Amino acid sequence: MQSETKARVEQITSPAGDPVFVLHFEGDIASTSKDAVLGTYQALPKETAKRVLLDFTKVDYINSSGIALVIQLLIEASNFGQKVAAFGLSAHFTKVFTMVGITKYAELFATQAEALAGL
Amino acid sequence: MARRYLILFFILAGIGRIGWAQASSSGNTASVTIGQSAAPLYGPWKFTVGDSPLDPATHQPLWAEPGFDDSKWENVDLTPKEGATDPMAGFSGYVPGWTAKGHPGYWGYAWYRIRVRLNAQPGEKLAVGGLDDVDDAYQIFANGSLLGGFGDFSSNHPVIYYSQPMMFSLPQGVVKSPEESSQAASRLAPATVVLSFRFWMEPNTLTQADVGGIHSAPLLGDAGTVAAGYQSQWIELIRAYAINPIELVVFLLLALGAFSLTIFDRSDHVYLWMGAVFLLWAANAANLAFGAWTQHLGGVAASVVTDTFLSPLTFAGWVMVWWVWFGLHRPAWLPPTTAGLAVLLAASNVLGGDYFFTVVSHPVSVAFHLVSIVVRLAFLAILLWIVAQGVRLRGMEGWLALPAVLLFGIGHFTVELAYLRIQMIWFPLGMQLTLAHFASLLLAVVLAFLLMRRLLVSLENQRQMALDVKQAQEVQQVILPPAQMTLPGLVIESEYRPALEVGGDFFQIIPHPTDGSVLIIAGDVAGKGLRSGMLVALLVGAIRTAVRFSFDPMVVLNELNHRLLGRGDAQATCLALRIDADGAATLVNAGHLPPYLNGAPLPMEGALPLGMVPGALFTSMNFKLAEGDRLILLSDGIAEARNADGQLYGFDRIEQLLQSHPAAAEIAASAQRFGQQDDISVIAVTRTTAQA
Repeated sequence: MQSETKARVEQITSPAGDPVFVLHFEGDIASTSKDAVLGTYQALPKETAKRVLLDFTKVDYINSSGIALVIQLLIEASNFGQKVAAFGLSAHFTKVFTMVGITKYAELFATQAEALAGL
Repeated sequence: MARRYLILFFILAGIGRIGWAQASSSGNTASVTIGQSAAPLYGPWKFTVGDSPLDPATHQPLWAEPGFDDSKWENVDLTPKEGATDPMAGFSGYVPGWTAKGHPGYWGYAWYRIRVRLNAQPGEKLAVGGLDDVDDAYQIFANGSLLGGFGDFSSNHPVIYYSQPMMFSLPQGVVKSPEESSQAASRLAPATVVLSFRFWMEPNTLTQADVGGIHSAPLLGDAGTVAAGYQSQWIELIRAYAINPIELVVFLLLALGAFSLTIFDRSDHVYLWMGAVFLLWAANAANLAFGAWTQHLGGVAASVVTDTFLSPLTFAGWVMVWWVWFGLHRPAWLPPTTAGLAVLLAASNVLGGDYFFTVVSHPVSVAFHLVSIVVRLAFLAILLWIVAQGVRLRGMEGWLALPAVLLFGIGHFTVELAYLRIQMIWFPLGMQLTLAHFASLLLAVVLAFLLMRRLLVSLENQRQMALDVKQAQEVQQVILPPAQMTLPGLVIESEYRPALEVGGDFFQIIPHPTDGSVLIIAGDVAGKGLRSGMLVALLVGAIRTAVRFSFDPMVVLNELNHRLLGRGDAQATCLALRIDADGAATLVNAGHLPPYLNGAPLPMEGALPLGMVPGALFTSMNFKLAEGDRLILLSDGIAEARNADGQLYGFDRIEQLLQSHPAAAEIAASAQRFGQQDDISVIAVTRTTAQA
């Protein structure tokens, strides 16, 4: 039984003083998570959201459809020239993200602090 | 026992208004001879509008005092016309109120007084009863003493309730006037009592015809007889509004039924709308019953609940029910407009109902009432337009809905039509039935019929869909390679276990017709079920076509990528493996789990799945299979099997499992036992002999 995907946006500041939008995801990410994943991302103001962090700390499960959504997000961000990093993934999903080529679009970090520093 | 027979008589007689006492009037005094009996006080009543000043000494209303000179007040007779009944509740013995007797449009305070000379047994308990039909609240005084009242007069603005029977005991001292005290020892002791009624009527009550004050003559007499009448009037009141609890139960059951249907078909929102509307109707029935039978909910509060919330939401709800039922999508502005109209109706109802007369003046209220009429007409027009579309699109279903919707709409103009003297209320067996009741009943019957029909159609569709799925499953089995294939130098076994009837995993094993090589393509379409199954069919077709022109794994994957691009959410991980006759292997990967060679994963860089971007760069590697080498290709359904605790099967368990050289079916079974979430496919390739 998949749990509903929740998404929350937080705006923080990078060490360099730039605005950074953090998308905190929670629950499972699957085909039904389109609004939570892509919808939340697409609602970000494109003119100011030049740096985006994806927080998977509270995500329990991502299936193939969910991974496809994340890739779509990253491709869209790449087209807009946004810099994206992800953090909080379990070892399993870090490996899965690597296999599907996500690391070509977004660096993966263990924590938000590391991701913020590496952004 | 005698008391029971007395009550029974009142019930059978149609009650309450029958006096057994001898009542007559002469001059300005009524004479009543009491003998274990009661009499209706038809007159002569004195009446005036306005409110009494208070006696500075007693702080009691001067107009209640027995010595007050009411000779200049109007004379009022409460004798009902033969067969007259209350137009709203159906009670017999009805007399029109003050608005029909020279005070049209008047609301506020008014007083009634009657001087009664009565003969009663010494010590006999007397009471005043009846008064089951009044507008709206009153206090009763006997010789200046407050006996009680109906409604709450503790604040400046009295709180009113729907009319209910009341009974007030007359204190012994009240009926024994000083000048007649010498006769107190005689068998019959004549005494004079002045009964005064201070009435308050809400301006909102003016929306009904002939309202104002007393509509049924009070009953005066022996307390036991009055009590019997009081009880029988309660029975009459319960009977009059008995339709409300019946509706409450019926609508709750219908709501439950409608919500239950969502279990069978979550995609059809019409059941949710229906359930919501039936719940609103149930709430309205509960509100009416609660207001009519208790004094826990004020009449104004009950009306505001109906006018502000229930009525507008019900209108909007029915618009949405039929909108969804007939599958309409245009004009797209109609649903939001309906919501806006509901808000406007709520506002115009509450402001046009004279509920807040201290803030909103009557002319302003009248203007809002006109707005309310216009909005209700707009709702009716929208409903009829939707049903007309239903007739056009669905024929019989539309025609069935038409009369029910028409009645429902007209039922919301009860007050206005009553003003035009068009009968909108009937009283079969003493029970109040309005046009709105008939409309809701008819709507419920029509909907029950349509729901049954829809359910049968839905079941037939589901049966057809199940057949389609079964056929798709059979097709998928046909396009899957055999579970075990023995080729020159290779043994290939495969296992496929879809999570649903039709799976999104796919693989093809295609031996080259001439050069002894074999091409293995395995993939996983994002998602599962019939949609994924159809994409699988597309991909398999594309694979079969591509290999006719090239056996190069990279060419094949590029072709598949091209096929999936621009098809919305159609993405798939995939790998293509070519094994030549000499064991040389070329592996190209598009986001799929890398194969395990002799239990260890092949080191491959990640690559995007198919269908993501044009011209995607897929990773490629070459290696050679030696005799006895075993290559295992897995879909992510293995690694992402999840148990009840939410733990994943994971890569560590896979590597551990592969140490025991399990068959493909054993690998699949292990993940399935752990907790299958996605389609599972396993291909095991074993190099048997090294060929040149």
